[in-house]
Amino acid sequence: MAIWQWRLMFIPEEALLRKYDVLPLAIPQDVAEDSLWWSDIQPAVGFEQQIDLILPEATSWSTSMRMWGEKHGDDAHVCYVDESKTTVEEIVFRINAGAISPELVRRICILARQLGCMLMTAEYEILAPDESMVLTAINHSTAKGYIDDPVSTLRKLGQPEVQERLNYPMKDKGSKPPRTNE
Amino acid sequence: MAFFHSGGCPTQAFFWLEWGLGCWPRVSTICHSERSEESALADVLSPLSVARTLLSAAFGLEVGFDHSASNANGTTPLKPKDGLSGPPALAGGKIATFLHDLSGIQITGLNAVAPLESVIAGGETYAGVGGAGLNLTERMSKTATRKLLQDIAANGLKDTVINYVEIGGEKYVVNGNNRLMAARTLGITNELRFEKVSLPFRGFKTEADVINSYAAQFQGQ
Repeated sequence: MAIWQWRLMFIPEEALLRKYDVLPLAIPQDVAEDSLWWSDIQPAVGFEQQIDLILPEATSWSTSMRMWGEKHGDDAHVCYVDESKTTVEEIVFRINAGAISPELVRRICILARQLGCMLMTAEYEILAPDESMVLTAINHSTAKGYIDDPVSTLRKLGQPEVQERLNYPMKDKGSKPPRTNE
Repeated sequence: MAFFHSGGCPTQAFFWLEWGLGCWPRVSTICHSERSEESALADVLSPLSVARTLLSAAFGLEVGFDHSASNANGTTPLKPKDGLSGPPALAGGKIATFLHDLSGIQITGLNAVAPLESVIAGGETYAGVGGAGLNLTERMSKTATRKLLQDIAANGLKDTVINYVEIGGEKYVVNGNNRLMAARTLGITNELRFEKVSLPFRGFKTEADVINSYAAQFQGQ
């Protein structure tokens, strides 16, 4: 994943409302990353055909994922529990902030509404699948900041608390960067 | 037809690129002005960037640049990663033969030849780049990261090149964040190669955008 790509994860609205009484504006990182959002709710069978209409399917590097779009541009992936690809674990779109397509955003929002989902950003903000809301969020994102002002954006990302957040998936794996030379 | 500026020998060159359905891209060059060795050396990366774009667009082949060798020897080797038969490594001007043999693409102006050893070693190593100090700038979800770890553990790294920029002594990964994170976790950072790039880096949607951007720039659009 590249810095100019802005991530939107589909979260079932029902799953959010089971955790929160009202839809939150943002959720904590641990809840966002560790919750099994699709464990009790599954999208309609064949929903992938809707993604086919948004982006061309691409070769997947994982036997338990399907992928669409361009690796460094607009793309999407669906993670499944296993290779049978019957049970969805995650649905994600990544938008190229260097060439934002309002039409792509519109289609993503339509799909999210069809699947009864809210959209969660990489900063764990929860967005309603509304085109103008999503476009506003992109324009305030780190990805867009990199396009507009890469130096100051990268400097901000170098702060320790940001690095800690970015290393979160490896938190349980004891994967601090090795300090020894090779 | 699009064209874009390039360089690569003690001359300045222009590449013409023609795209057509059912045929490979074709590139030819015209050298038209004298340039100093120093300025030519500075420009040598430009045609290689073009070559890389073409290789990627035409074959899905990714190549890495050995910038350190370029600076030291006046050459810039290219290293095809995998997926194609043929020479295991390309040095300087041999890219032209490689492209021509495979597709009919002709690139001239890439006349530098580097020792094969430096080609194979191409790119900076994790230790050499001070890998522990590299800042991440983006990442996938935890679920997707787990899938990536599983895949790399089973099949190895398919793309070993990580792009970074340096600002005020700090290094930031702008492409390859997740592969770096995975390699750190799996203890295989020695398999990665690091390329320092200049800002602005990417932000283009496709290779065609890059080419058209060059075309617009030099056609005065």
